[in-house]
Amino acid sequence: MTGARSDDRFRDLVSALAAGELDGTEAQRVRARLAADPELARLYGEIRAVRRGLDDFAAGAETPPPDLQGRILAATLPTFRSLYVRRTHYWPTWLAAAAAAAMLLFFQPPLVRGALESLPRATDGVSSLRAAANRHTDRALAEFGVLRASVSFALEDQMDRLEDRLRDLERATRNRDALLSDPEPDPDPASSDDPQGEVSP
Amino acid sequence: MESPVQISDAQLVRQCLSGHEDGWRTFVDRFRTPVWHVAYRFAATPDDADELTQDVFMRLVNVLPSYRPSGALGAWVRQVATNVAIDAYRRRRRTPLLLSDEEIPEAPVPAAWQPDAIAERREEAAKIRELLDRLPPELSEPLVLRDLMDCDYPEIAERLAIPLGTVKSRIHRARQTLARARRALGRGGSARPGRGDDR
Repeated sequence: MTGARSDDRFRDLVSALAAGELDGTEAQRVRARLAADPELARLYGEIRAVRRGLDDFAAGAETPPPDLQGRILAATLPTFRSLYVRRTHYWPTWLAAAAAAAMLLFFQPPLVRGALESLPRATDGVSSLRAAANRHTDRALAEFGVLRASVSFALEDQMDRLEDRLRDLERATRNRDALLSDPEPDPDPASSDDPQGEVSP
Repeated sequence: MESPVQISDAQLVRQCLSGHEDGWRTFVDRFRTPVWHVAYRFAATPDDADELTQDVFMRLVNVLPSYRPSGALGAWVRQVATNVAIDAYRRRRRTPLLLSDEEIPEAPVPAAWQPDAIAERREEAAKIRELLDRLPPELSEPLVLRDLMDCDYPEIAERLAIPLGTVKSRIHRARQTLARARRALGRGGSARPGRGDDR
């Protein structure tokens, strides 16, 4: 049992060696064992060939087909437009529709009340309502994501500006400190007899 | 579509979120090839890779607001692409054919490997990719991530939500199973361990 486990462990090491995942010392140890064990050496060669095959396969992916861009855009642009292009008009429309529905349900004018009473109480109606609600929820979540991202970008811009301003202030402070600590250059060198270069009171 | 001035990642996302279609066209143009490369490694055929690439961009258009400008957009796109590809890979997997060592028939010693023959190497690569698809998913998924996607072990463990030790053992087992399957097809060859293999 222990021998079998040891063999498994060594096969794993052979796999790691074939993939170039062992450091120098351990690689030397495994190579020494391979030299004495033809079956393991064969496994090593086979795993190397598998790795080379996988590398060749990956390298075979050069460029996507030229019409892929068009197909991606054809598939995604309708969603893009529904999510992002008309979003400034979306909330008022949605809110207006929701408010109108709420008013109708709350006050139930005779016509609406009659229509509601004539509705079959079937589960299909509930399902369609639920599906509509889910669609609205998805849209609302997407809108919320857009708003959140916009706020994030805006905050980041503000942070950048604040950091720039802070750097300017630090620079100005340093300049001021330097001016306060350094002596004023004397226009007449002959009159300066202070060896420390300090400003006399 | 090549724009004369390359705008930054954050600017590009901002344009998209503001509803500029040109921004989205540029986004697709910028990331179409890297996404397709991810899809190609997971897909069974080039057509599948094209379809998977479209699925990735459908996901991207929906999750675009979740991108945080503090991170690299390319890495984020690649992460989304890999997640979509793994999901698709799990859905399309066929019944595993090579479940255990016992099911792999022994084969006679094969002909020597001819590294110069490009066509043969392509054929060999396609065959190994096909064999990889027949491994059980718990073996093939980590191997695809490691040997085709160049992910490191901790990243694979996190992505697949399995312990690091399990990732390593599954990858080693997957390589050994593929090697034996290849031998069973009469493609095995002896090779001596080289000295330039370890990193």
